[in-house]
Amino acid sequence: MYENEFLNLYGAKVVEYVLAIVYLVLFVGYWRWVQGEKAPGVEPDPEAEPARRRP
Amino acid sequence: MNSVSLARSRNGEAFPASWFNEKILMGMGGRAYLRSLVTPFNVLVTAILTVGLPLLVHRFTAGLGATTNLSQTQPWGLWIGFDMMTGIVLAAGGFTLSAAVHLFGVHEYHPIVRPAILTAFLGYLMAVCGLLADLGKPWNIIMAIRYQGSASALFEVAWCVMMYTTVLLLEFLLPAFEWLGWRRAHARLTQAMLGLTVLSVVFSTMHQSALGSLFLIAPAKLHPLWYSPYIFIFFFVSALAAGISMVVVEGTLSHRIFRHRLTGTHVDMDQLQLGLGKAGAIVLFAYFFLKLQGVAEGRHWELLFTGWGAWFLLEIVGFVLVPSLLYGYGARYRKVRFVRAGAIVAVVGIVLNRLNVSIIAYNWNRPNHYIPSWKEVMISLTLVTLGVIAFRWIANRMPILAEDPRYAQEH
Repeated sequence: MYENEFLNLYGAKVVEYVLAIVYLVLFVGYWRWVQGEKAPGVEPDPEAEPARRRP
Repeated sequence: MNSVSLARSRNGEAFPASWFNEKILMGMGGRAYLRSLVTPFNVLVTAILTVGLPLLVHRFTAGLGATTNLSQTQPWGLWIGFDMMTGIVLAAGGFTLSAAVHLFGVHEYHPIVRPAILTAFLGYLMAVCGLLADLGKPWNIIMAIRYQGSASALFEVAWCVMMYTTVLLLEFLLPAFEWLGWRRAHARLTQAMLGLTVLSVVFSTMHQSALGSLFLIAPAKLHPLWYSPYIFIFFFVSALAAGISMVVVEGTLSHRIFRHRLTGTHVDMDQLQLGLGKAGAIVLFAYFFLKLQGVAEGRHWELLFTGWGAWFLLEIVGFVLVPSLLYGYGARYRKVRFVRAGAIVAVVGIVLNRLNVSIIAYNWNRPNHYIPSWKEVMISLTLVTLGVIAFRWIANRMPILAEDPRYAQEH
């Protein structure tokens, strides 16, 4: 009987999947960086901004 | 003989002479026009054509053996690798931009669609000329129409290139009709533009990828780092990057060279190029990881530590990842110089990729690797020069960089 190679998790496929996941994670970050978006949670406090500008 | 009197003697009235002066001689008299042709650029062009055109005639009279270093083991050389593969991929700006504007509604890029279409049209004509020079029996090119080899990638490429060149000709006719003042023909063609854009996207998508599919039958000839069963995807994605990059490069050059032609509505070229920079950064970033997937799929990681691996890494890091970062940095910090630098590096990278696939890494393991003859290089240079002077001739006369305001309401 032939083995069903599609279901075998051999090394090369693991590398391909890991590469794809790494790519997707990096892509999201890169997309936000290119678009000039700030990461969530690091937005400056709009009320603190004028106070900082005061002489 | 003075051109004005020539026009008068043929037509017998003053109108054709003024038309000739205005449309062909750009409002100058015959002598003034001839004097304006004496420039350092034109001297260089004349020198190239003086050598190149007789060589082109020599190729068609004496044959491939007398002009090229091609052989039975290396039937594809510089004219396929550079004129055909590179000419077509660098012409991808036409369909990329017209799809963005006419199909996806990104209308702010409308002012730069015409130069992109003209570049694409001339790029395809150059590719077809290069192909005719490369065919041992160029008259047999008609066989692609007579015989239906529908299982062949080359058959698909042939048909798509024929169709797309026709579509590009029709798209180019729009400014040509404005130049000629043919209102009725212009109105008819304007109505057909959406359909033509759909066709251009379909044909381009098919043959940009099919050019990569040509190498699927040569896994033993192409170096494993460049060969992949996904090579057609690499070709298509890199064509998108090449199209965006060429629009930036061509837009930068033409807005400097043809500044005197920019009248009417002002186009903020910097703003447009920053937008293109964002798209270029994303596409090249995706392309970089796709190339890594090709290495992973073939399990060729160990080949990266060879000389060929260093060459491959130079291509995908130096000419794919680096321009992506240049694009991204320029777009994020609104520094258009970085976007332009990224575009130049990306264009060089795409040219390098096509040369790697079709010449440098092709038959990589055979002795006496193919090196193009000086005649092949000169004929390629001649074809590029002809494309450049055709672009200049047309852009100096027709409404390519700025639309004729009298036709604005029809768009």
